[in-house]
Amino acid sequence: MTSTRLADPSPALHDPASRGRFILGVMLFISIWEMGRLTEFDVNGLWGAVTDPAPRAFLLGFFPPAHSAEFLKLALLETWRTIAIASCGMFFAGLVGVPIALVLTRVLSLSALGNLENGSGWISERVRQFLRYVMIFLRSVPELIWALLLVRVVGLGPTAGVLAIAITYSGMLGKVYAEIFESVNREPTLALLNQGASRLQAFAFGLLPQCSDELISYTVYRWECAVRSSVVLGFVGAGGLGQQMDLSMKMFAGNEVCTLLILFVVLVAVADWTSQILRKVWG
Amino acid sequence: MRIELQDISAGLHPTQPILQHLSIQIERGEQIALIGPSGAGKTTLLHLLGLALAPQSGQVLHDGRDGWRMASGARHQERARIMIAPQTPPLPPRQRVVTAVQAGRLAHMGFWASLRAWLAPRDLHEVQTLLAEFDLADKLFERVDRLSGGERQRVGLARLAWSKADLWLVDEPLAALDPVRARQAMQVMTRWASERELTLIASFHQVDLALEFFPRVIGLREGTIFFDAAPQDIQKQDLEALFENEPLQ
Amino acid sequence: MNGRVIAILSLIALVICSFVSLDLKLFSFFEPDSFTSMVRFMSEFLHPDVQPAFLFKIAAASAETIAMSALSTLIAAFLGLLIAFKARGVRPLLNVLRAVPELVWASLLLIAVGLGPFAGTLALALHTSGVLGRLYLEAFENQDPGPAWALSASGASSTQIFFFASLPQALPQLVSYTLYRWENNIRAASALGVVGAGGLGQMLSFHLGLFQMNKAASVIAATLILVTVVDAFSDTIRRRLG
Repeated sequence: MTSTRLADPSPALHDPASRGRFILGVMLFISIWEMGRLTEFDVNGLWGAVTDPAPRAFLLGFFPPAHSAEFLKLALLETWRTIAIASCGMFFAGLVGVPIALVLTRVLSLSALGNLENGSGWISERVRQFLRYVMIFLRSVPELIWALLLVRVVGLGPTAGVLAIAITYSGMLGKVYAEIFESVNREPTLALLNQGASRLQAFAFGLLPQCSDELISYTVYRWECAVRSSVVLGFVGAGGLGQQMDLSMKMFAGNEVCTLLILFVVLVAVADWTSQILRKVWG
Repeated sequence: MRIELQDISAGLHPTQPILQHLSIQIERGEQIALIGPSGAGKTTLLHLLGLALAPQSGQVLHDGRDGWRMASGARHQERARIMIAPQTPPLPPRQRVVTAVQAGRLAHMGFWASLRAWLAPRDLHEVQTLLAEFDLADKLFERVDRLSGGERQRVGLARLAWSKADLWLVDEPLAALDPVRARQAMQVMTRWASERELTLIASFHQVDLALEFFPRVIGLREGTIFFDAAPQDIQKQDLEALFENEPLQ
Repeated sequence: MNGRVIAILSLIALVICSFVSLDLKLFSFFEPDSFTSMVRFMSEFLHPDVQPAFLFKIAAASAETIAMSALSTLIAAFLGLLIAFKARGVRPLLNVLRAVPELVWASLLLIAVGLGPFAGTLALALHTSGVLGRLYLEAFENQDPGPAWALSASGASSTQIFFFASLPQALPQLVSYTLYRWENNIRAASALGVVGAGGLGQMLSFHLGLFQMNKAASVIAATLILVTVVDAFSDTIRRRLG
């Protein structure tokens, strides 16, 4: 069908979206070009990756994966250490996160007793606000950066990793635990407080039983994340599987890297499986 | 398009076919209304006729060709000659009316034409003229999800009209339309079908409109043909028997 | 024994074993040497370097980091769409891409293509395409099949069905996922630099290596600002579209 008709009285139609789309297209093109320049995007470099001798040898060296008994023992030990780093980190994170979450939970606030809707005292609110900002700060700095700083202070090794995870994850746990506590039905807790129970008792017998499933579920999920994080943190010297991977890569030992990657995938799968079992057993 | 169904059994479950031992012959350019109670198999029959559902036994012949004996590529090309308009207009919510209508001709559009239609639709005038027949001319660039249910149904019919199919299979086209619009839609549909010499088969719940506008009415009940006649030959008792245990529309 | 009791005991055992097998030097904080250097670091930290010349370098590194995050997210979105479109047997590939952390990809790619933001961009693109590919695939699988079915019944090709039915339906969901990953990638891009993939991370690693805490503080502050800005921007777009 053509669009030209001699006796056509109506005005030419124009797609209102065409201008916007055109502008969007141009902006997209310019942005991509500029970003390609900023990131030193080099398509030839990609080709070089598979044709140049050094990278090529590295890639080909992946197979067969290293499987000497000595290396496997070392690799498995580092794998366990990764789990240990994540677990210790989570332990400290909980140690800090749980009290903060408790402070943030309004229903446990004595100053708000009987007056929950109008809020607790002015000081309590300021303290809560401050704690919230602290947690946001703890969460926003990527844990890799914390690890980098800590390695300078406490030296190479798992300590930096544990602390980095503890810092970042305490922010996360604190926030989410507080949200979970707030979302729970308040009656049982209030009843206990009114009876004269201490806040900790009210928490343990009134609040906690209602949300233990959710807490466990989230904590286990975070533990899995922590396991993956520990591997990443190893690259800046925080111990575990990651540190070993970094070393093997620096020595261009492709076969070792391959074994470690396989172990990593297995580790993630085991962590996932553990978390599922734990959740099923608990719920 | 000439269609022939030979001893068809069809349905979604292999052990419980909805349609059983159905045989129909439809000549080119015929306009047929399909009526019957819910669950009778009207939609199944339309999908069967549209090469969207394979029969469990029997043959479906379009102009003498059995689509299910062909290679899937040839069968897909055969589908380009058929257009099904489902009961719920199959329009993506955020798509604009102009694109939704033009999608009716995709099977006849090559790669570049499709890309152009997607980015910057052409033939705007033609689409608008088409929409004007349904009083939707001003909705050309409107998003589908901003239309009312009735307007969406009419857009679905407009897409049907935009296609280059010679077999139209329409499933309950009037469900969301008020009586005035329903009548208008019927008039437009049947007029076009006559003008282009298409074969039109439409299923209805509104028996009176079906009897008024179509020269041949097939009544379907529990997967078999209850009657297949011209409206003047259908008696009130036939209709009551067809819809037995269901309120007459 | 009650399942829960076993679970708690196992957790306690895990934590104890973990502490025992690691040689944690937690009290090293309180040794005189590290304590004084920590105090000195802290005080330098609280006086970030804000000289114009240095701020200019930070701005350049920030631009590089934003470019890394945005470009890699765009590439990943494109690859993700491609993968989701050609859905057959693609799940294992997606899982591999997703499972390997960005940093590991970056380290591998650094060997292949050399130091700098290119390796970082590729690493993020690869990992994110696994994530987005899986999310996109699920979005397509969970959508109303009506429009796609109707187009298929009318003889349209699978590419046409993708552009005229599947994609328009899923688009709000896809954009939301993509923006969410951009928020994640800006953090990741900031961090990747520590292994040499450019941007703010590389600057941070450099200055920390020289124990220039005041400069490091500026870089960290810039990272925080960048992350906050990108989060806010992405939230605004998501709200506009939603």
